[in-house]
Amino acid sequence: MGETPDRVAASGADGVHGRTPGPGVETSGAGEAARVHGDAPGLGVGIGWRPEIDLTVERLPGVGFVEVIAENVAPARLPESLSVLRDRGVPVVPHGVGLGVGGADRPDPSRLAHLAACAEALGAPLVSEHLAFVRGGGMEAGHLLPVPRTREALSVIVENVRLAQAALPVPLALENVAALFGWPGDELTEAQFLGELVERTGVKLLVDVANLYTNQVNLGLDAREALDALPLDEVAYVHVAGGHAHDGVWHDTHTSSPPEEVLALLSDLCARVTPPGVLLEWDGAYPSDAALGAELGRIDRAISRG
Amino acid sequence: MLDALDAPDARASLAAAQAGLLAALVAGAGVPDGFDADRVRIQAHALVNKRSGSVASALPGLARTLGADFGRLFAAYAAGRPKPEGGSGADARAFAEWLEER
Repeated sequence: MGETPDRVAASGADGVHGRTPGPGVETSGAGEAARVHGDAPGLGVGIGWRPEIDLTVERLPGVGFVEVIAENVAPARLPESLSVLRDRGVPVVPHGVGLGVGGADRPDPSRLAHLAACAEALGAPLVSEHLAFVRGGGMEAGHLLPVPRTREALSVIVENVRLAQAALPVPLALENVAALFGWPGDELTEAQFLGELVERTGVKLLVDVANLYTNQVNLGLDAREALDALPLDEVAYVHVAGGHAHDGVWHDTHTSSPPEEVLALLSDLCARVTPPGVLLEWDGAYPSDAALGAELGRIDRAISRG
Repeated sequence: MLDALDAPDARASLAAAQAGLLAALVAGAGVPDGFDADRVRIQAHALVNKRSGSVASALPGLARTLGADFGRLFAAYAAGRPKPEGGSGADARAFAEWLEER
């Protein structure tokens, strides 16, 4: 944790302070993607709001929307910075990490009530969570784990998603996760599994292209095949993040500059569909304001290339 | 897969599968059949690292005092010991107690 030499080099190379593409930026074929930057109904390009970078997020030019980790806020006592952003009309999306909708238990009503209260307090257009399990057998994983992708597990998770949707005042979007291992006996790919969930529950998608990249590196799962198989018309928004390679394994740490391969996947996604929003996740080892602004600029350009 | 037999109890079957894997990941149990044991170990390490980072954030003073030893000591504490109920705060308190008892 902490050292991120690649990040500094890549950000510095961009040398762009704001995130608006400047003159000379390749824009051919950007007609579709340009709609991302419109006022409505798109979200635009955003960044994960974190307490450590609250002022940075407020100051960064052109932030279209933000996400807040739902478990880290109390709806009755929202951080002032989020109220500032809300007053400016910046949408704030509660992003849950602890629901475990892919778990064997029905979703916890108190966790759902918290997500619902966050959505209400923030005036959020939607809530997002993960296709993952985080606890079981009385044990907490402390992070998002991939679900077994069998038809049998699908039947359980379909019911879980419906219960979650019924408890929320706004649409729910589910995110594909980064995996370090696979389950034996999987009958569906993650894209197929998410496609089934979309079809049977109407849930929206949060496509994390960094997680697709992670699974390509770690598990040999072709990220572009995943893009082909996902129902991309149902994408609510997209996540982009950086990570670190360690002993041939990619760790999706959200602490470094997104590699070019991840941005190329974003371009590929944007060539297939115009996502309403694209959001950069950064969770520690925060760089300068200028470097974060430059990262948003890289994302803008990757969208334009799509 | 005996769907006719499994279907009535899909939740129980999923619960058993997930609990078995979690026991290997966070409680020191053996890796269930069919998994790549190396990858499960890598995931287990990643989970401990994530816990360690959260506890270091919760206890910045202790993290400074222990310095480079923090990660090694936390890994020793966390081996076979799942994250307690109550989140990172409870994990931090349990780690501090473990250090005192050593």
